[in-house]
Amino acid sequence: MTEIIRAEGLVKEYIQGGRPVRALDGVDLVIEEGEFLAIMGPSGSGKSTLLHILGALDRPTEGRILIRGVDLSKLSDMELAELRNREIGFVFQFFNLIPRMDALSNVELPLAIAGVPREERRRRAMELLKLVGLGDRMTHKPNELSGGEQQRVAIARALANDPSIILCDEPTGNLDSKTGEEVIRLMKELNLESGKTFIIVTHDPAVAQMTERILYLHDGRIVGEKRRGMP
Amino acid sequence: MKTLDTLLYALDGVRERKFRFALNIIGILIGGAAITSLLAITQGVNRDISEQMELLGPTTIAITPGGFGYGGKGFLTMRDLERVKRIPHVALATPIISMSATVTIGGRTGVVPIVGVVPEEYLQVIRNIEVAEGRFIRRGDMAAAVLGANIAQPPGEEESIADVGSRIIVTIKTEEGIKRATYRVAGILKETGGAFIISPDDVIYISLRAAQQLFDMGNKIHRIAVEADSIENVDYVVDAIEDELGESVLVISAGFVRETVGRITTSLQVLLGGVAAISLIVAGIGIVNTMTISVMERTREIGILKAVGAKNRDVLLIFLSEAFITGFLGGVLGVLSGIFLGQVISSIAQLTYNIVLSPYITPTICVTVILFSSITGVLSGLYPAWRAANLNPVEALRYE
Repeated sequence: MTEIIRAEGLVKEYIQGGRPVRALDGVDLVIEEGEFLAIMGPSGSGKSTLLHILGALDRPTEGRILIRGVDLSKLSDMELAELRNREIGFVFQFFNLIPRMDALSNVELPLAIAGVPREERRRRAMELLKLVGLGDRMTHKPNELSGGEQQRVAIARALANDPSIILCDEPTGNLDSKTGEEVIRLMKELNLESGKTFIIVTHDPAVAQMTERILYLHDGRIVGEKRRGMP
Repeated sequence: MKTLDTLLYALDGVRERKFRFALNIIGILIGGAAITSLLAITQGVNRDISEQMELLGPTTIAITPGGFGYGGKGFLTMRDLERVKRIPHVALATPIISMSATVTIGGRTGVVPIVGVVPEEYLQVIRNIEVAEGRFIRRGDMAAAVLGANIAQPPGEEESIADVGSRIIVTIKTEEGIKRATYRVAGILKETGGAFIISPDDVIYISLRAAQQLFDMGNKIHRIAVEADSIENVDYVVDAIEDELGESVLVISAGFVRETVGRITTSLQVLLGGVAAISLIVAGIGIVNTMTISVMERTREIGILKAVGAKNRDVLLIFLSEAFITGFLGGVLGVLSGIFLGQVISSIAQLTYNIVLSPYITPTICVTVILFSSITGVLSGLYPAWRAANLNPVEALRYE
């Protein structure tokens, strides 16, 4: 398997309430292409911060991160934006769909940003919404969809530009356990069929159980790792 | 992001905030309408005056003894006239006496300018005079008068108050006391629509000799109208007259008048346009305000856009487009309202002050107003859009 993400000595500090907070305190990790991985930890352990840095949404205070061997610290903000657009898809706890736009337009958004022509955009978005099982809900707005459906739209949007990495920040946090399980199962299917790398931040052990590898984060450090089939 | 997609996205955002958007548009619209109507009215005034001046003819030159107005304190003399006649390229020079007097016509009394002219020469200078009834005065007429259209039938009157053959009495005050003279109406003129300096519609013509006698002018005259032999020689003749008669006289050619009127209306335009532009600035501040609020409300949306790969530039352009759409639409609607407003203002002016204003909308005015409104929109959007573009994506996504 080829290495897709490598993080070396990641430190992230920020000021909160006038005091410096160390959200990440020297994280090293390597993720192979096609992995289905969970990052677990209590709230405040730095999971989301790590995910944002892995997704090129934020820059680390120290250390570096390489995606397919490209050092992100050497890229400009504009190049990072392009990378997010092409290589990375985000799925959030609160879905983060744009409320005034229907499912199709939400899925089309990353394609529009990439400059994909209108018809192709529409075709691709319809394809993706069918793939996530929402073929009959395409023109519904987020407030007309259930939580599970909204998260499926978000997954379709994450897949829009066919990125190789999908980052999920508590994707089941706002769903009941049954719907949450369905969403994770969908992700697993996509992982198996397309070989996309999924990194799922969660504090739900049931979700983590469905992944192949779990990284445990505590106080900004990786404190443990568990592979499926291993005790 | 492609330009069209940016615009469509911005439109979509605008549609979500219709009420605020409408308020912003109204702000721009008011400014645009004010500028449009005021520019149109000053343009109209300019055009009307220019048209009137065309009646004077491009080769006509007027000499007055310094200053405009009837019966000014200064005088010219018949000797001045002879000197002007000797200047090369002067085809014609004719004396004019023009003084106000109290006139009684058909039982009505009012103050009217009495103009004494040498008829056959005068008619060569003021070419748009046409007789409606009777005849124009003749050189030797001592008791004949010709009435301008507005004298024979004052505006607002249903019927004319004088006919050919009617008697008019002219009363003037002199040092010796009240002096009265009686004239017979020999003719009535058609309406000309006016001319610069003297409008034939609003005066009574008598012969120069009769005027000299009436006003006891002796050798003195009020004005000399000159025709140069060609347009090319007008400037030469103007200079020569100034040399001959000295600095105390005012020599006016059609070109000079046009220039002066142009200067006055241009300053008027700048002044009124400037006042109206202030309202656009106020509207712009309104846009800055609402867009800043809008950026705050949409912080999360901006975070989402950035997460899915929008560049700072994309976000900047989305918000600038919104501002542009506001300015542009406001400008277009402002022009349309301004055309209407100009009509309203001219109707009010006509009804209340009896001033005829004919607003003149040129394509330049429309384009200028729309351009100016659009620029106002974009400038107002700069700061909020810059703020939006530079939001930290992680913080934006966390924003509740």
